[in-house]
Amino acid sequence: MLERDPTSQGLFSRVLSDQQQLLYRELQKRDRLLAQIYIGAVWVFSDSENPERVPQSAYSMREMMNKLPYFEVEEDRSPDLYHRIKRTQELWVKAVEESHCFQELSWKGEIDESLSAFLSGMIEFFNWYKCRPTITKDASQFIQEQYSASYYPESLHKEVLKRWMKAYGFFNGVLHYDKLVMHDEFERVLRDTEGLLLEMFLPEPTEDFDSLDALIREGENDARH
Amino acid sequence: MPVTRELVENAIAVMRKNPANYVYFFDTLKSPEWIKPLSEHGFFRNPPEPIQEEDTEQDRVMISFPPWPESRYLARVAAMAPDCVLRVMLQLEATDNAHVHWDLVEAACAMPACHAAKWAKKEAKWIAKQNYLYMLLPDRLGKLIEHLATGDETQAALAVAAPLLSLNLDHSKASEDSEDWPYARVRLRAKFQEYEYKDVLEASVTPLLNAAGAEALSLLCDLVDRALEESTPFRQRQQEEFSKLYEGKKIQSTSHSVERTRPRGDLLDYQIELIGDDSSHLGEPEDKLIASLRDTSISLIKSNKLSVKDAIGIFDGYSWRIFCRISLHILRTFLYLEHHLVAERLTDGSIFGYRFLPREYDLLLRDYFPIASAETKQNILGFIEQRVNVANIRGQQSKADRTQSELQRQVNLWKLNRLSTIRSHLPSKWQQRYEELSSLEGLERYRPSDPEHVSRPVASTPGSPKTQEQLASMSIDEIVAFLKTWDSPSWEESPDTLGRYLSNLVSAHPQRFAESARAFRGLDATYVHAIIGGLREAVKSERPFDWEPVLELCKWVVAQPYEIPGRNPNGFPDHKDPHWGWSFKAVADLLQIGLAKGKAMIPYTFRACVWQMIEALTKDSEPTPEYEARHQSSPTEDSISTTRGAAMHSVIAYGHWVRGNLEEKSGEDWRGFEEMPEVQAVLEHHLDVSLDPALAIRAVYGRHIPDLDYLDHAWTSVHLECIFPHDETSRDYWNAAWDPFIRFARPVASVFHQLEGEYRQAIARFGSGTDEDEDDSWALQRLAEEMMYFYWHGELTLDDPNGLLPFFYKNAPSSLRAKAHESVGRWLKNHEGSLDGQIIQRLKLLWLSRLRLANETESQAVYKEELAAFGWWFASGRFDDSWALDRLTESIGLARDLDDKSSVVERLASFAPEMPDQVARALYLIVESADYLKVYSFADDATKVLYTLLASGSEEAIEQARRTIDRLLSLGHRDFRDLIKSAGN
Repeated sequence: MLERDPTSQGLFSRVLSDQQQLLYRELQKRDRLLAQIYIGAVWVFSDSENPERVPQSAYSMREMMNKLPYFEVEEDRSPDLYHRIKRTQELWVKAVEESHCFQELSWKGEIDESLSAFLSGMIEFFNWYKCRPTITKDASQFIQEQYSASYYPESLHKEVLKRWMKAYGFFNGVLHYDKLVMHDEFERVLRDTEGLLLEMFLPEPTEDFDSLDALIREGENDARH
Repeated sequence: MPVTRELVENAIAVMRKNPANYVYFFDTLKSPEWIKPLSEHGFFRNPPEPIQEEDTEQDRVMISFPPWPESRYLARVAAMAPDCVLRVMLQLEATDNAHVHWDLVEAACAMPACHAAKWAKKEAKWIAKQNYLYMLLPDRLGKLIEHLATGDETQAALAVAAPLLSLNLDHSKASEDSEDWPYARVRLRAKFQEYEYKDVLEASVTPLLNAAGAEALSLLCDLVDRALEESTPFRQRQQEEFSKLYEGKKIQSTSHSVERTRPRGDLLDYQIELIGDDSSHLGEPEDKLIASLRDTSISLIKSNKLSVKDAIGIFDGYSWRIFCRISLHILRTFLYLEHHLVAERLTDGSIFGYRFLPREYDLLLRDYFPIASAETKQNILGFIEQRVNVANIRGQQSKADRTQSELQRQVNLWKLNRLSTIRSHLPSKWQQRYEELSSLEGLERYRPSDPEHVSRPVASTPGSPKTQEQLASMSIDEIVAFLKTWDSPSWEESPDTLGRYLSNLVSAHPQRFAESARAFRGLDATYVHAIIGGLREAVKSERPFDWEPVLELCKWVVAQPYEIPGRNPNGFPDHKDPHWGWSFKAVADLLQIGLAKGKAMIPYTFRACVWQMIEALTKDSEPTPEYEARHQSSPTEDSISTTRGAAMHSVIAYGHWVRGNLEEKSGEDWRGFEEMPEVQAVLEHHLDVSLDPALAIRAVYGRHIPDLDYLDHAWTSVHLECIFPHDETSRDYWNAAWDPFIRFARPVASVFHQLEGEYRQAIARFGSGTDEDEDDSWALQRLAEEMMYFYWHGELTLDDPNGLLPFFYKNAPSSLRAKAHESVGRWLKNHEGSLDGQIIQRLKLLWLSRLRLANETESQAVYKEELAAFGWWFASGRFDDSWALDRLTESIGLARDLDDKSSVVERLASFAPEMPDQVARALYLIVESADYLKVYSFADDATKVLYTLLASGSEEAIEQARRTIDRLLSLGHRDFRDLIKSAGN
């Protein structure tokens, strides 16, 4: 269930900076749940009395990044790793119990129906595993979609993906207590991730073009001299 | 100081933020100094590949070529740093992106030819691998050839020209055509659009000609040769079918003792009628290529770059007949330069068989003979006399059973044709020979054709023995007499066409024919059918006439037996009606249209006579169940195209006609079918499946439900169950009635309420997988529109959760809900005059309820399409501004898309001064939901709105306008950047 819209509460403007409010609204446009997860991350981190605020905030951030690529997708996603292993395990148990090939803890003879079913299940599993959606693939596709207005060279795309995956890895490490971080380091990564998302959602080419003009002027004036 | 690494890194950091920055950066660079440091950062290596997308709806693959800012930049600076750019171009990863190739060709054209030549060889290999060259790349490659040729890089120019101008067999067309039509023209295809071929050819050949001379000619010859070679397997397969057009590849010459290869026939040979013809009108690429070959040779000879002998020598190196024909044409063009060659060619019987002696030969003979020496003349005449005889043509016959005399006639004809070409220059002995040949039996009426004149049979429909003007000038008696006596149909003239002319005449002058209609009794069905058809057209055009004689003619027609003695009812012998059925149908159609209100309506006094005919026609056998099974058409279509179906439509028209007339006369209350029991009887009879099982007839009832309700409400109420049977075995009957009802019947509230169950049943079938074809989707759309229509008229409400409208929304797919909303918007927009406030209020409630549901759900995507349709509603201007603007913002916010954006933005422009904040929010969302191309549809109005917003003084509006401009810039619309500057912000 979705909670009440936090924008209707006083806390919204108190907890969120202007940039964060912008990001919140952009996420909300895509999916209200995403926006809610994000505001939860910021909210919990702002609670200085909460000793677990960093891993809790990291958890929300990682989930938000997990879900973001699918904000519009209503597809029936195929069974996940757990379910696939469970199904393969069932085939295994059946093969052990029913196959005539399994005798005295070893496998012998011509493949029969139940062993064949298990082996086929394995093929299916590994085929899926090879092509399974991964965090990196999802993120890469998401970035590509955000930048689909015109051609974007792979080298630049990779850099954005690297930035994304670095942030994702950071949050994942923090939430699992693999990485102990100071508040200010966490805040820096949080701000950087917000910046990355805002660059995608709210590009500011007016300003960027001015910067590029200045750089080109500098380079070409020098070049002419 | 050069462009520093730090500078490049800073630029990359900005580019990384957005693709628009990347594009802007490369599009703005002016100096080539950036190439090296950017290369070191990985740029200029990997061009984007073409993008292929499957368009499943159209069953095709769409291909697009992303522009590459990096290659655009290289093209711009190539002239300044050719070495550097060439190095980059040679190291580039291979790509099939036409956009990139375009840029690289531009770059090559901008650098010195010696630089361009190095890259051109690489490009030539790429061109050779392409099946098709997209965009305007061929045009640019033509320019490259010119650049190389004029820059003394002839070999590189030829290397690019060869693959660029090559022609290949169009396999798709060849296989398609050959299945059905073995004589289909073999299609050769260029690597690009045919209309471009001539331009590219001309642009390439002229500079090549100047630079490479005979080498350019050889290139063109090679191109023709390869094209013919490529298509040879296909033609060989068809050799037998084309035996009339072709000769064998190798035929032992009878006039020479040595065996030599005779030039091979090919379809080009057949297609190109005369080598010397003006070729500007010819559209096929091979025609252009041949014309270019011809013109190039002539041009080279004229400019003394090539001798006639050498040119002929080049052509003789190729084995196709077309080269021989060009040789003959060249010899004729330069007749005085190479006498001996001409004489030799005119007496070389090994070149052509007798049947396919090209007309270029006769033209050369005609022009050369008068100036030839006496000895040469004798040689030529001797050749003509002896070249062909019965023995040597027998082997070239497609039909082996030709008699000796038939073959001899062909031999004589061949000689006669040659001699006639030079008749006025023949010595007296040969004059006599000519006279002798032309007086032979079978040739005495033969008129040899002018070799320069081409006449080919053109497929056409048979004509008429009388033109329409001639018919118009005849009296009715004369026409009748002619129609009764004329009976000599040939392939040139047919009764069918005569009937069409007659029909047009009747339609134009109905009274003239109507008053004498009795005279047409006894005519052939073909003409009677045509006359009645003409009268029908006259009624349609409101041209009145005297109905009495016409109805008598119709009565006579209806009384005819179906079959016509001596005619096959299943054929179309001699272009005559095979039976009376077409005339029966014509009568049913005429009555139907004549019963409708209008200037040419049938007078009510003929009620009995009219009904008598209608009733008789409702007994016509067609459509039978076999007919319906045989035809792929729908029951609705069958109801229109068959006699019984048309007669049943006439029954309804008759009902309206009777009611209209009776009400007009008596002014009393209408008593339904009591006033016309004959109609009730026929309707009930045909509603009984055991008596009339045709689905087409059931379609008549469905189509006319509102009419039936109008004629007798009580009868209709009772019989609806029968028209729409609910048992599973009668499903086809239900469909047959529902389909025309929903598609064609006008929405009537009283009928709607009686048929709510049928509507519910139709809605329940959404998504059943049976509604995929276009016709069905139209029916569904109509159903959706009717839901809206009855809602805004207050016949449906949202209040009852089990009501029909909520049921529709629950079951309809999102596309259909969107169509429903769109239909409302279009209606609001197109409706003239003011609207009842209640309607607006109901529509507002409907929209709010849809928004509320979309807001409450977790899967808003389900509502996207239908909410996007608010664009139509907003653009109609029927709602108060503030409400409309708020709903607009809310709807796009949820749908992230909007229909009819251009009209919406146009309307926003008028709101902007008064409501800048709301307008700014709405415009931002619209831009956010658009892609690069869609922005063009509203760019002008968006500019106006943004200009107003930036000058509005409202902080929020200005901020939002800036964001909108940023969004537009990021989509690639860089013109909007000027707005910020010009607004002084």
